[in-house]
Amino acid sequence: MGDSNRLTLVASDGGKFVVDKEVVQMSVLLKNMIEDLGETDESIPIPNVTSPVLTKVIEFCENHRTDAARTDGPNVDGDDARMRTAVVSDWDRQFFDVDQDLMFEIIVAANYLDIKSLVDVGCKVVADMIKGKSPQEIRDLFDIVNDFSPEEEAALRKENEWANDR
Amino acid sequence: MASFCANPSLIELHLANMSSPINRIPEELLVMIYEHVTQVDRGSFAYTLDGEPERHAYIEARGAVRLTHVCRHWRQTALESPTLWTRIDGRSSERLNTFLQRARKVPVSLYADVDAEDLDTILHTVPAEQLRRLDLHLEPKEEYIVPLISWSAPNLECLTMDAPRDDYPNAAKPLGRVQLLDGQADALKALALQFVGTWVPSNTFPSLTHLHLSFAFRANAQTHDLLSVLGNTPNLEFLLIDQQLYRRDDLSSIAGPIVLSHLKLLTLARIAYTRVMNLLRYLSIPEQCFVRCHDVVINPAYGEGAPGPLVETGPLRHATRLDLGPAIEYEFFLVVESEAAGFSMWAHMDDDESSWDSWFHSLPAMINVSTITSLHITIHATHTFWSPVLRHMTAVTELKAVIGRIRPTLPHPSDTFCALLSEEPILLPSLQDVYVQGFYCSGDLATSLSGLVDAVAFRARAGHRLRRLVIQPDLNASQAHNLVGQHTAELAGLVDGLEVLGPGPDLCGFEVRDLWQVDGQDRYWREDSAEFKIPQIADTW
Repeated sequence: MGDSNRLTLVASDGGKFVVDKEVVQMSVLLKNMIEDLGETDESIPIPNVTSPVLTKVIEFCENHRTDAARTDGPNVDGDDARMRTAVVSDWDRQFFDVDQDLMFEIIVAANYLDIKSLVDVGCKVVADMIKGKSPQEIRDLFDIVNDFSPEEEAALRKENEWANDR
Repeated sequence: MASFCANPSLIELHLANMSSPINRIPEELLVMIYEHVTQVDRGSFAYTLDGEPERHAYIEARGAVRLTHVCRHWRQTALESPTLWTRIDGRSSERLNTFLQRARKVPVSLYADVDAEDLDTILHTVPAEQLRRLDLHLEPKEEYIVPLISWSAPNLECLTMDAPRDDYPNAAKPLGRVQLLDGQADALKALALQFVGTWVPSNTFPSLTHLHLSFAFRANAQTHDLLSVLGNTPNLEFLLIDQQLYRRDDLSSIAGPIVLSHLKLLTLARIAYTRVMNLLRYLSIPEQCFVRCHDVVINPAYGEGAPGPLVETGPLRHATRLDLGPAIEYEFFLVVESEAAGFSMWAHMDDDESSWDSWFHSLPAMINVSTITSLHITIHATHTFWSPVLRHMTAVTELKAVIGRIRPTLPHPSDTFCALLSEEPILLPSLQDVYVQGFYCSGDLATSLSGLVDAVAFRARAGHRLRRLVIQPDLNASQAHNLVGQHTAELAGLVDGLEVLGPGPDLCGFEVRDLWQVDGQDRYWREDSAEFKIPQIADTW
């Protein structure tokens, strides 16, 4: 019989991670799974998440394990109250200082595992990258090209006239 | 779309875009990112009642348009997300119409900076049942109110009206009563009227939790006018009344107290002292509530004489901490608080000849000081009230004292402090920890220091030995240690712990802290929080 306070997660590429249950339970998906399984030594497969991404997700959860909100879900004020409490710390910004492939894979994995605080912090970090930038600067940032037709671009220019009006 | 399909290179570009990491995430996540880009704070509405729209949530919301100009995928995703278009800066009609169209049937908030005629047009552009919030910045004319009398918005939850702080020509006339929103205000949860002239609403507001009433300069807003509004707001949680500086207050028509049993935070700002007391007298508020009386003035021009006593009110009953900040002859800052309740008052006399000293003599009759355990004070040369006040503070265990500067012909504040510690019968019998800042400042050091040693020794002999004594003299570090050092051994035998600090952060400085941040107070608009803080004290008086 293994340590009942820890369990093993298996990434899509077979990587195994032994993690405290308390940390794992920041994921609503895994929390419900553990409750359904009861006391067990079985590993839990995470088929949609690779080892490098799972490593980062576990790192985030371990750092935020003492946060109050965790899996409490929406309170009486609904999701907005949860958003309000999610503050992006310096540690969080450092955490997301990775290449864009990994950054978005972490956010997608957090969404799949239903780790609300990680989804929220990730989206906020990306939003902060976008804020104050022009469409062309945003394209440059995310490796996007302008795929509007000339006619559409003319229409967008007209939108700009009232969009930035007082 | 036709031109897009007819142009293979655009299709290739579009497909290339879909391989970008950000465009591979599910659309629901992309929308979440957009929401963070366009919303300052999702939990509370970023709006200030100061006519500065550049700081508003509405400006941030305009960023949604920029997102639709990045690429086709972003445009399509944003246009399919009505919630991105619900905060409408209505100062451009094209923007108003486009946002409304993109918001579809989702409830919207609208900001408009208009005169009365434009307001009527705008109010009839937005489907009334779709409007949840309306923020108006208006010219200081009475006519603006006309469109809002007959117009109804059955689902409106928040209405703010904000005008420049100008004089209204008819400000001295009695306040009018106005039935807003065709009498239908059942859904309204928040109402802010900022410098809106010379009327008050006469509606019944069964759902109202937030009310901000700020009057035009010299508006004749009397206590009975305010109570007539508050009598219609049984569920009020946050109330701010600003600028009530008329000359006479006719109380004859007031029937009895208005019960606000849900009130969490009451702010009375820029109001004559007597009017503050009149309001507190006729309001029944919970014990667990915070009351801020800010910039309270006593001025003969407003018919004010010597200040009467504080009106007994809930938060004054069970306080555990008392701060008496910059208390000088004509001005003071007082904070009385516990974990769940508080009362603060910053008051001043616009008459340099008067003094609050006699008012402070009555402090124990006005505030239940017997439950105070932490006391933070300034001792000023003109103060004569400390002995009778401290006599009632039997539970104080911690005392922080800032010693004021000496004044010719008046007792040295350091001597006053020592005398209080050694008074018989003993004052503050539960006292354990003493922090004193500015001791000996420019006074007779030897005498003052001996006085302190004698006072501490007296308390030890009387069975009230101090646990901790921390002194921060008004001296540089080496002077402090040299001079106090002569008495260190003597003092060390009289207290369990002794520390002498040199210059550095103020030992007993009145920290600048918010008074108070009550959960929910910023839900609909933000106050200028810098206003409601204990000010830093510059001991220059």
